[in-house]
Amino acid sequence: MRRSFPIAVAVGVGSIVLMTWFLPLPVLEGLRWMFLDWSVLLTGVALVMAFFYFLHTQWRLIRRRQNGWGYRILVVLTATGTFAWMMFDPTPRTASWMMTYVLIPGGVSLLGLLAVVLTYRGLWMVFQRGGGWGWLFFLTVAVVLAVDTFQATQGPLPWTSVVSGWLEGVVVRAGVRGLLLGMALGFVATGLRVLSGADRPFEE
Amino acid sequence: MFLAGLVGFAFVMLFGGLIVLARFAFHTEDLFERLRDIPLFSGLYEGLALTMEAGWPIHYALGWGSLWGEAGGSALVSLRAFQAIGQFAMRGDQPPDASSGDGLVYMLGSNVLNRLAREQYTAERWLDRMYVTGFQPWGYAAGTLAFPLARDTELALLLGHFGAEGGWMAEMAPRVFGATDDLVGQAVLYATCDEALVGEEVLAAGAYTRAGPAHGASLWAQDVMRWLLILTLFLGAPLYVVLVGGGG
Amino acid sequence: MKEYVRCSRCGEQNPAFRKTCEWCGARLPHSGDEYLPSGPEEEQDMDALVEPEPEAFDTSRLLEDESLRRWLNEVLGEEFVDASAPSDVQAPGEETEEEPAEVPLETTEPAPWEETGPLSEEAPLPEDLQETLATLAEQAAVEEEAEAPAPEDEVPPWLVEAPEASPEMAAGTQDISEPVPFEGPSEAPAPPAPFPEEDAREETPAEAPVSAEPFAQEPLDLGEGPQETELPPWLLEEAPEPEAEEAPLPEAEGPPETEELPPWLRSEKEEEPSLEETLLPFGPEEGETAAPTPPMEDETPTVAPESDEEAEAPVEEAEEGGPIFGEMALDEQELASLLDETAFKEEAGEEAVAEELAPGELPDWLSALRPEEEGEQVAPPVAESELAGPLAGIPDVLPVEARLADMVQKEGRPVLKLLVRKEEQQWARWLQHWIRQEEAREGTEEDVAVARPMPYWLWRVVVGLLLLAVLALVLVFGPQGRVASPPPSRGAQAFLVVAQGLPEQAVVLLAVDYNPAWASEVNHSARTALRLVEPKSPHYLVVATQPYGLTLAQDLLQSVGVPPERYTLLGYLPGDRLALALLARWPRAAFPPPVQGESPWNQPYLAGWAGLEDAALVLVVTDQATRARDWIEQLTPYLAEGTALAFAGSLQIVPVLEPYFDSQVQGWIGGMMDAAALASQTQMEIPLNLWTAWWVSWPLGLFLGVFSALTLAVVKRIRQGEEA
Repeated sequence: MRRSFPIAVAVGVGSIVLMTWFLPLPVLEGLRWMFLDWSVLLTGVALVMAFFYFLHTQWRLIRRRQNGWGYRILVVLTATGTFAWMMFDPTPRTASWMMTYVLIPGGVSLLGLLAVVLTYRGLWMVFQRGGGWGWLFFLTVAVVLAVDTFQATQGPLPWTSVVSGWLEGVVVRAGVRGLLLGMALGFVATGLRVLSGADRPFEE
Repeated sequence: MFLAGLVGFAFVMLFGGLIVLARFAFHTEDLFERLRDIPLFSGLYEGLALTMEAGWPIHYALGWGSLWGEAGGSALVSLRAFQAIGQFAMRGDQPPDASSGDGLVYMLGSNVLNRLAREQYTAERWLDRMYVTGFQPWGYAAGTLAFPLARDTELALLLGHFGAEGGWMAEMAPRVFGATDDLVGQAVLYATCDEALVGEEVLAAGAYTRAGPAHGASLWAQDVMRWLLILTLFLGAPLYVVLVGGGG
Repeated sequence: MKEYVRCSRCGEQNPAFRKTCEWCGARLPHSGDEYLPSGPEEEQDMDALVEPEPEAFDTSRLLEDESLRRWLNEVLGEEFVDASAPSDVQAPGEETEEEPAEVPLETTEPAPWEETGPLSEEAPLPEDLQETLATLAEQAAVEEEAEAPAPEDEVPPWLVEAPEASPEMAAGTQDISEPVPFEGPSEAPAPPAPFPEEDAREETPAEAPVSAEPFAQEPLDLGEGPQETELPPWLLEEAPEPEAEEAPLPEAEGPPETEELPPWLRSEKEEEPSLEETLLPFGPEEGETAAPTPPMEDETPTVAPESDEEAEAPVEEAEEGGPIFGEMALDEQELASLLDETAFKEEAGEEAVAEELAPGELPDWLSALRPEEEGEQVAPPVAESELAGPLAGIPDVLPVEARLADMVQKEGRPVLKLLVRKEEQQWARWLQHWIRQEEAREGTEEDVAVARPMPYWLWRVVVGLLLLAVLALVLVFGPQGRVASPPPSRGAQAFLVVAQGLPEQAVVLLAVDYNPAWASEVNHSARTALRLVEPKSPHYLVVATQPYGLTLAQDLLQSVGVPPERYTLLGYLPGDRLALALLARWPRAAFPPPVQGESPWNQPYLAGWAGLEDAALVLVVTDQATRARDWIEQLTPYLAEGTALAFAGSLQIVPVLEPYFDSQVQGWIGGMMDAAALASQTQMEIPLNLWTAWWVSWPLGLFLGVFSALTLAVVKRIRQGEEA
C-alpha cells in the first residue's frame, strides 16, 4: 500500500491531464486545471525548499572542512543576508540595485569566460580529434559563416551571403527540426514510462 | 481542433501500445543487445572502472532543470541513469558526489542514493552525497565547478539539462562526459567534453545504462515511431503541396 | 542443496558443481564433498574408531624445527638464534626421520633473549604460546598423516576418527544402498558479503547465510543412515570461523588400524577431480583407497539428495547451466548398479567419469599456517597480471584478462563449459572491448604528453589574452563612426510591421524569461523592441517566469522611458511549462489578487479583459530556444486571430522560431544583429562606443576563433599525412 499509493496517484493524475489535453471532456477539464494549479503552487514551494537545501549543502561542506570552506561561509552569509534584506526592504530600488550591480555583472562575466573556454576548448578539440575531412568541412562552413558575419559591415565577398543563407535556411533549419522531432519522441516515451508506472522516480 | 486532438490521442496510444508490446514480446537482453554502440557510454564505464581502481572521486551532475518544464524529460532520465551508474560506482572506495540545481531533483536524487546505500549496506559512506550547488544555469555551474575542484575529482558526468554553461562545467575534471537535451548545450558540450551525446541520445541513457527493461522497450518503440513519422513526412509533404498548394 | 557456493577467497558465487572458483582459481569450500556417498544405514559405533587421546605434547619439541623457531622468533619479535633441539620426543604416528644435528639449548653463553625471552629454558612459556605450539604440533602431525600415501588397504584417518563407524564401514565392505542427506546447522551467522552488489544483481535467490563452523555446533546428520553418527572433535573443530577468536583444532591423531574399506570410502588421491566425477555420488572402485576427505569449512554442503523421490540429475542438465546438482538422487538399485565396477565401466563411455572420491585436502587457512619444510616445493599460484589501467603489471588484481580471449570467442560461444549468465557475458564483452581499446591505443603516456603543445592553463591564458586584445584593438583603432549594418532578417522585418500596426493604447503582454547573464545581448533586442512599440503608447502587463524577471522588466521599461502608470507588474509565475498553460487559459487565475494591496486587475484598461485573446501583442523576451518553443506551444491555442506573438532575445532562439514563422510567430528580434539593423533602419539613438564594441569586435573574435581552429586542423592533417 505504501508503495502503490504514490504510483497510483502519479498514474491517475498524469492520465487525467493527458486525456483532457487531447479530448477536452468537461467533466475532466476542471480536474485538469485544478491539478495544474496545484503543481504551480508546489513549484513555488520547491523553490523555497531548494534555497534551504542549498544552505544545508554549504553547511555540510563547511563542517567537513572541505577545500574552499572559507568561501562557502561567505556564500552562506551573502545568501542569508540578501534574503533578509529583500524581506525587510522589498522596494524595487533595492532589487534593481542588486540586479544592476551584482547579478548582471556576475553573469555576464561568467558568460565572457565561457567565450574564452569555448574558444580554447574548440581549438584543443580540433587539435586532438580533428584532421579528418569531416572536420575540414565543418571548419570551412564555420569560416564562411564568420566571414559573412564580418563582411556584413564591410567586405567584397557577396557569395558568402548566398552560401550562409542556404546553410541557415536549409541545412540548419532541417537539422534542428530533425533533432527536435527525435527529442519530442524521447520526451513522449519518458512520459509514457512514468504514466505506466515503469519509471518511479518518487520511489524510496 | 477535436480531430487534431483525436490524432494526437491515437498517436500516444499507439506509442504506449508499442512500448507494452516490446516489453513483453522481446527478451530484455535482446532489447539491450540491439542498441548501437555510443562512445560516451562505453567510454563512461571504462572511465568509471579506471577511476575507481585508482581511488579517485567521481562527480555526477544532474543539471539545473526541474521536472516541471522542458527539462523534465532529461531530469527523469538522468535520475534513472544515476541509479544504474551509482550501483556500478559503489564498487569503488570513493563514493561519487551528485549535484543538482533544483530542489525536487535533489530530493529524488537523495532517494536514489539512500536506496542504493540500503541495498549495498554502505549507508555511512553514501549519506550526504547529494548537493544543491546553485540555482539557474550560471549559479549552478559556478557552484558545481567549485565543488569537484576542491575534491580533486577525476571524472565528471554531466547528464541532465545544461545550456551553454555546460562548456564551462567541462573544466571540472580531467575527464568529462556530457549529455543534455538543450540544443545549444549539446553543441557546447560536444566541443568541450571528452564525449557528448547529440539529439535524443540523452533520453536513451536509461537504456544504455540498463536502468530497466522498460527503457529498452521504449527505445524500440521510439525507433518504430520515428520511421512512421518519416513515412508520414515523405508521404504528407507532396500531398500537402498537391492538395493545399504549399510554397516558400 | 545449494545451487551456488561462495568462494572463501574472492567472495564470488560459483555453481555448486565446481571444484575451484571460476574467478580466482581458489579451491571452493565444499570441493565436491557434498557428493560423498552417504554413510551406511545401520547405526554405527564410531567411538570404536576413535583413538585414545595422545599424551600431552612437549612443546620443547618444537624447537627441533628450525623453520618453526624462526617463525616464532619473528612473531615474538626476538632475534633469531640457533638453539639446540630438545629431547627426541616425537608425536604419535610421526615417522621417524633423521634428526638434524643442532646446537643444544644449553650453551655456555646464553643469549640475552634466552634469558628473558619466551624461548628461554628458565622462563616458562606463556599460556597462549603453549596453546599455539600445541596446536601447531597437532596440525603438523595431522598433516603428515594426511600427506602420507596411504596403503591400499589402510583406512584413511578421517574415517578412523569418525565416530560411530560401523564395523562394515571400517572393514570396507559397506554396501551403500541409499544416499543419505547431509544437513548442516539450522542457524548460522551471516558473514559480511565482500561483493554485495553481486547479491543485488543476481537473479538467483539469495543464499541463506552459512555457518563458518558448522560442525562445531551440531553433529553430522547422515539422514537415514546411522542415527547416532557423530564426527570426531578434530573434524568438528577444523571448520574455520573467521570471526571466532580461536578455532579449536582436532586432538585425535593417527589413522585407524583397519584394513579394509568399503569401495565408496576408498579413493585415490587426486589433484582436481573432473567435472563429471563430482556428479555421481558413489564411492571409489574396488581395490582403491579412498583418500581422507577434507574437513568441511564455512559452507554447508549437502552430501546427497534428501529422499528417494528426488530425480537424478544427468550431466546434460549441468551443461545447460541449471543448478541441479543438489537434487541428484539415486534409488537403491541404481546406486548399487553404479557401484558395480563392470556396470560403471560400461556406462562411463568415452568420457570416463572418475569414481573415486575427491581427495581430501586441508583448507587454505590451515595450509597457510604450515611452515615450509625442506625439500617441499609448494607450487606458487599462477598469478595473472592486470594489463591496463593504473594497476597494470600487478598480479592477482583482475584474474580474467588473460582468460578473456579464451573464454569468449568472436561469436560469443563459450569455450569452457561454464555457467555464464548473460550479464556476465556482457561484462566479459565489456572487458574485451577495453582490452582491444588498450591494444589499439596509439602511443604511450609520453607520446601523449609530447603531442600536447602546452598545458591547459596556458591555453586559457593565451586565448583569453588574444580575445581581449582584439576587443581592445577594435575599441582603440576601430571605426569611430557608425558602421553600415546589414539588412534586418525577415523575422525582424516582420516585427517592425507588427509594431507599426498596433492600435493606439493597446494592451501588450510583456513576458520576461531570460537569465541576467545574457542581459548584455538580450537587453539590446528587448530595448529595440520596446522602442519600436512605444510610439503607440501601449499598456504593458508584465509577467515573469524567473524569480528576478520582474526586476529585469522594470529596468527595461524604465530604460526605454515608459512611465510607471503604463505598466502593471502581475507577478512571478513558477512552474515553467505548467505555468504557461495556466496563464494562457486563465490569466486571472494564474495571478489571483494579493492578500494585501490593490489587485493588479483593477486597472481601468483591464476592465473586461478576459484573457490573452484581448491582448494586441504578446512580446516574449527570452534567451533560450526551448523556452521560446514552450511559449509558442502553450499560448498559441488561446490567442485570437488579431493577437500577435513576437519574440525579442538572443540570436540562439532564431533557428527554433524559423519553423513557426508566419503561422504561429509573427516576428522576432534575434540578437544584436537584428537589433542594430532595426535601429539603423529606424534611426534610433545608440551609444557609439557600444555600437563599435559589440558590432565589430564580436565578428572579429568569432572570425579569429574559427580561423585558428581551421589552421590547427590543416596543420594536423598535414602532420598526419607526413607521418603516414
